[in-house]
This record gives sequence, C-alpha cells and structure tokens, in this order.
Amino acid sequence: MKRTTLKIIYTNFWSHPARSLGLVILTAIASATLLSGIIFSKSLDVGFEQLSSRMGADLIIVPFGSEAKNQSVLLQGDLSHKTLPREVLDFTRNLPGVSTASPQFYLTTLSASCCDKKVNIIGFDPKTDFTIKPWIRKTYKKDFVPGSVIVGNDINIEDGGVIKFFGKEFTVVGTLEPLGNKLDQAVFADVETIEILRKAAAEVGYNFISEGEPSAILVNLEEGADFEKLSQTIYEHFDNLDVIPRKNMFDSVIATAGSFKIAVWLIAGFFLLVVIAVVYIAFSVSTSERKREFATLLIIGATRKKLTNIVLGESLITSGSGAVAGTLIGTVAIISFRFLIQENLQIPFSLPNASTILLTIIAALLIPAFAGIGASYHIARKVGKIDVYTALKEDA
Amino acid sequence: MILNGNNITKQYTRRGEKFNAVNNADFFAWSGDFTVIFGESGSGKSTLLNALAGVTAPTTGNIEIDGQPLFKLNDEELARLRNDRIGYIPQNTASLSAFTVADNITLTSTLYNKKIDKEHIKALLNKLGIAHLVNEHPQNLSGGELRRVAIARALANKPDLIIADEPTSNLDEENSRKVYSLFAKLARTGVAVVIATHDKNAFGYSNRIYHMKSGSLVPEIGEYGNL
Repeated sequence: MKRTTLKIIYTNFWSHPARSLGLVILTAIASATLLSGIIFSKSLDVGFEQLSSRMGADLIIVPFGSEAKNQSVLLQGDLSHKTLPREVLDFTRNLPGVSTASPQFYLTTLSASCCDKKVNIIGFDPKTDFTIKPWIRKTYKKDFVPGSVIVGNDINIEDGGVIKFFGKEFTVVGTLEPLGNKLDQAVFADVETIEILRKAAAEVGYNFISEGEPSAILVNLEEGADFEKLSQTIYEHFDNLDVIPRKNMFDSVIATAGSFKIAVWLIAGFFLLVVIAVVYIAFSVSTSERKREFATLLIIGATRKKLTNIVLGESLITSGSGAVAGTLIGTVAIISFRFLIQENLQIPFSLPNASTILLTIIAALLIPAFAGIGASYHIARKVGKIDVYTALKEDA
Repeated sequence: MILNGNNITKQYTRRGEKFNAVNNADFFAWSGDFTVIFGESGSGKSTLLNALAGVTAPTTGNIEIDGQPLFKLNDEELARLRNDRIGYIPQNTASLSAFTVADNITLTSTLYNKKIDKEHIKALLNKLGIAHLVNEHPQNLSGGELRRVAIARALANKPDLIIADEPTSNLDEENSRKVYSLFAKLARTGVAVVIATHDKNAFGYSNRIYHMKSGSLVPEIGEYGNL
C-alpha cells in the first residue's frame, strides 16, 4: 500500500475519533470475549481431563451421603471426612472382576505452617494406588519415605523444606503440576505418613479418623466386569456407603461445564455479530458521507481498486487495532482472574498449554479483524464502483 | 495533443424512463485550444465533460486522446492517464476534509509518488490568491476559496488537457478574470483547455465555442477566433 493511501486511511481514522475509537472498542470487546471464550472452554477441557485421569477409577466407594461431596472433590478438591469400615476394602479386593482396590484418606487441617487457608491432606497407598501415584510420578520419581509429603502447586514450599501439621514437621519432597482447583492447595502423603499425622492430630485432641479406615476406595475393574452386579454385591453386604460408577462421577461436572461453555460461546458469537453489524453500518454512513471525496480521488487519478483498498484499509486498522487490544486485555484478564474463576464457578479449570494459548491468541486476533473487514467488503466494493457524476451532485 | 470524441451518447434512467443526457455528440480539441461549451443548466454539459475527462464511460461512442481510446484502457491505465495528462475541475468539486489545502493540492503528485514541483505550486497559489490558505482544512474555506483550491489541484501536475465545469462558479468578477486569464495563458503554452459554462465572459478568452442544448452539441464559432 502506498504512502498516500496510508495517509488517507490514517487521517480519515482520526477525522472522526469518536466513531473510530468506538469501533475499535467494540472489536476489542469481541476479540477479548472470543479469546476468553476459547481459553475458558479449553481450560475446562484441560481441567476436566486432568481430573478425569487423576480420578481414573471405574468405581469409587464412599461413605453414604457423600456422593455430592465426592463430586465436589472432583470440582474443587473439597473432601468429605466420613470414613468407611476397613472391611469394605478387604471385601472389595476379593470380589471377582476387581482388578485393584486402593484406599484414600482425607484430612483437613486449619493449622498448617504454610498456608492461610485450610489444607487438605490426601493419603494413598503407594502399593495399590493407581490414580494419584502416576500423576505424582511426573514430578517425583523416588519412593516415599515416612514423614515426607508432596505438595500441590499453590503451596509455596521448596523441595527439601518443612511443613508443620499438628506440631509435627514433615519434609516436602516434591511439588505437583498445577491442576486448576483446590487440589493445588492439597498435600499428598502415603499411608505411613498419614498414620504419623493421625497420631499427631490425636495427641493434640483432633480425632479425625480411626486407624486404617479409608475415606474412599478407588476400584479398577477387570476387562468385561459388570459394575452393576459388583455394586449390587457391595450394597448387599454393607450399609451406609455409596458405589459411584465413573460415568456418574462426572455427570454434573460435564453438565455444568457444558452450560458454561455454551454461555461463553453465545456471548462471543453475539459480540462478533454486533461487530459485523456495527462495522457495516458505520462504514455505510462514513463512505456515504465521503462519496464526493472518493469521486475527487478518482478524478485526480486514483484507481477504483485504490478506493476499495482505502475502505478496506480503514476497516483493517479499526478492526485490527481492536483485535490487538482485545486480545491483550483478554489474555491478561483470563490469566489474572483464573483463580477467581475456579473459586466462583466451582468447576475444574486449568489453563491449556502454551501452543494452544498461542493458537487461541492468533484466532482471537484474526477472527474479529476479518469479521470487520468482511463486513466492510461489500461497502468497499460499492465505493470502487462509484459514479463520479452522481456522487458529486449529491449534497452539493 | 488531440482530444477527439465521436458519437458520444450517455443514457440515464430517470423515474423508470430512459433519456440521453448527451446525444450523439462529436467533439474535438487541439493543443492550444481554449474551447467553451456553452449551455443552460441540465443541457448535458457536465455529463459530456465527465466522459471527456475519462471518469464516466459513455453509453455509446468513442473518446480518444492522441488516438488512444480512453475507455478501452483498464482501470489502472485510465487512472494513470487522468493523473498524468488531465486536469479536471468538476462542477461540484470536493476536497479531502481530513487533509490541509496544501495536501489536497499536492495529492495529484503524491498519489503516484511523483516529485512535487514546489515552485510551480507556489506560483499557482499566488496567481489564484490562495497562498495564505495552505495550512487550512477545506471545511474552513468559503465556496470561492474551495473552487480555487480545486483549480490549483487540477493544474498542479501540469496537465496537457484541462477540463473545467463552471470553473468560475462561486467566484467574483476579479477572481473569474484571473482564472480565465490563467487558462488562456496555459492554452498559449500548448495546453488544451475545455470549459463548460453559461458565463458569456468566457467567450472573450476562447477560440472555439460549442453550444449544448438538450444533450446535443453544436459548434458555433470558427477556430482560433479570439485567442
């Protein structure tokens, strides 16, 4: 594009600053909404995927009435502190069709040395565990030593540091990758460490759980095992527990996440449509006001193509700068408010990887920018076909 | 330079009815000619000038400059020819409101990154009495001042064909005289000047007069009469 064309585009942009900036702001909103929408949606997918792989059991057995609570474990890492009789674990392990059954122990402390908030402590049995260990192994590959813990990503204690629970010190041997929920503020320990912790709590008067009684049992089934029949057998032998199949574990999570995604996409789509409509109207008005200027340019030797390019260039500057501003605002906003989103929406939320974020930024830049250019294209073509005689006669 | 138009017809549709704004007009002008097309408002003068200036294609007929049919050129070639060779001052001229007077006048050069002949433009501005307005924006100018800006812009590129539609509308007698004198002087240097007007004062500067009535063009006075 030649210097004069750029100068015409630039001066026209600033000749109606309110209108131009209005269009920029509108495109920025569309771009920010689109970016937030995509990242929000992807973050839900990533958060859900992380939780799903972590809670990769075919069945979970929990104390009766804690099913809803259990879903909030999935959502937020809120733990139920009811426990199951120890026999449930032994019974389940010996059932035909059960491949693995592993206990988990949930404790909460209000008095950890690390944190202002309550800290959830999750205990697991390294010998049988198939959900937490693979996840922990990504950052900590050694064997567990009694008295050592692995901490969630939001607990700021360096490896080798010490965390104190109920007056007893525990060594932090690893920090986990972020999950995007309250489990990032949890502490993970093996059964022996949990026993040390339980005793320390009991010594200072907190009797959370009885020795060896799990808060939940995670079950993996053999290929082709009938989970309904298996659940039935457990129910026949024990009261006061719930057997939750994997399918149901995520039902409400999926429904909640799905509703949020639809809402976010609808908002982003709405703003895109508004951009298209407003850019079309604004450029119709603007070019109509400047018909005589376009005719004059044609008279002094501008090509019809140049007239089209001027309109498209103005549209590109307006939509482009809006898209850049919106993308920046959207990126900063979603990164800054991700914890607030997690906290308030109570759904798993974890930012996608850098390449997905980069692709999203590119999409959020290009889609609103091209929507604006597309909306003005018809008008740009009309300007390119201007009839000089008629244009100069109008409003003369 | 020879501007030659044959059987020029421009048809428009008004309220569903077709009519010929210009009807089978034949026209020619040589280098050094000062041609006046005289006629009442609505007689088709502006339509004919638009066609002669290469901005509106006639419905039928042919317009050539030095044997080159204008409307057989593509968009880029025709635009370049308008920029290089034709200085057209339409009746209801306009300027780019976001540009200063100076930028509007030099636009003919900057459009194709041509070198601006500052001395030539300075002389033009002085002759037209608008040198003091160079930094103003068009919206701050009077109708007469805008008219002279349009004339300066048309002449800035030193065209060899000047086509002007009512060039002295909005101008007082003194400024009208200045404009006619300037055109006459240019004609003497070999520029072909074609103006459409209903101002009979223009006759005194011209060597060829056409009369236009209801779209038909009739030559009235012989060549080289008054120059």
